[in-house]
Amino acid sequence: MNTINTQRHLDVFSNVAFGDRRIDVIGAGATGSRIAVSLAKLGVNNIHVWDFDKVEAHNIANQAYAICDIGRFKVDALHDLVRAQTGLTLNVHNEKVDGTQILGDVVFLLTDTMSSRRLIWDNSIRFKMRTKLMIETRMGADQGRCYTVCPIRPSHVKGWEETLYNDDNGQLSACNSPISVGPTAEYLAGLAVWQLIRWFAIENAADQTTGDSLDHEIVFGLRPFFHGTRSFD
Amino acid sequence: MKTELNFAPSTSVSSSAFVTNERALPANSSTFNVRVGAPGNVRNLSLGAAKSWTVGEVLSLAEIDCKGYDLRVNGAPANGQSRVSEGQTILLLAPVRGN
Repeated sequence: MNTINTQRHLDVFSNVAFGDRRIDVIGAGATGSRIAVSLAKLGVNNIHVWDFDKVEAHNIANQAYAICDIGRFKVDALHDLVRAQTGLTLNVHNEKVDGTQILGDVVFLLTDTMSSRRLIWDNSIRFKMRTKLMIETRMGADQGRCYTVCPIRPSHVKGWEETLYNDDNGQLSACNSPISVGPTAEYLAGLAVWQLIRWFAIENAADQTTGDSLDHEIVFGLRPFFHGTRSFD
Repeated sequence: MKTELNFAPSTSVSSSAFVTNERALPANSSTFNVRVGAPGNVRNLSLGAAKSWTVGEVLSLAEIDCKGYDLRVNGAPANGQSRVSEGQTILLLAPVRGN
C-alpha cells in the first residue's frame, strides 16, 4: 500500500523531524476522530487512539465515521478510515482511559466529561516527565476552548487546573446529551492540531526566532465570531 | 451612565494577555470603563471612580445573571468578589465540555 506523501506541508510540519514521538488521542468522538485523521495526514506515525464506545447513528453527522461504521467500535472504524486515507496504521485501544495507562510525548485529552479529564490528568499526565505537551479541547454548539500546556511546568499546571469546572454546568441538547455540531468540531480539531504544529516549531527552532509563542488558552465563539487567548506563563 | 458598545467585527489579535475584540470608550476623571457580557454581546459600562467595584456589583448594575457561567476578568478566572479596574473586561463564558 502507498503511504501518504507529505511534501506539500513539510515546510510547516516535518513528520520526518517529528520522528517516532508518540501521540495519544484520548477520545475518538467529534474532535478526536478528526484529530486522529488530521495527525495521520500530517504523516505522524506513532498515534495511539483510546475509546471504548461504538459508532451510533447520531455520530455520523458530527464525527469522522461513515454510515457503514454504525455498530463498530470507534477505534476499529477509525483504524480502517485512517488506513484507507493515509496508508498509516493507528495503534488503537478499545478501553476506557482511567489514569493507569502510560501515555506518550503528546496527549490530546478529548473526553466529554470534566471528571474524566481530571482523573486522567491527575493520574497519568500531571508532572509526568514523559509527556511534553497536553492539548485539551472543550466544545459547545457554537463555541469552544483549546488548552495547550506543558504538564511539568507549575505555571501551566496551575493555569489549566484553574479552568476546570464541574460537570453540572455543561451545555446539553434536548435529548440530554452534550451538543455537538460538526463544523464546530472541525474548527476545534484544526485548532488543536495547529497547536501541536506551533509547539513543535517552537521547540525545534534552533535560534529561537520563530516569532511565535503558544497560547495556552484559546476561547472562541462562532456566532458571532469571537476569540480570546491567554498565556499561563 | 450605561453605554452600548458596537461590537467590532473580528480582527487578528494575539497577546500574552487575554485578548478580545471589543473596543473601549474613553473614560473621564470621575468614571472608569469596564466591559461586561458574553462573547458577542459585550457592553461598555462607565462606573463611578470614587467606589471600588466588584465583579458581582458590576454584573448587578448591568442586570446580568451569571448563574452557570464561567467568569473571567481580563481572561483570568474570577468570582463575584473579584475587584475590577479601569479597562478590564468581565466575560461570561459558557462552561462547555463536549468533544
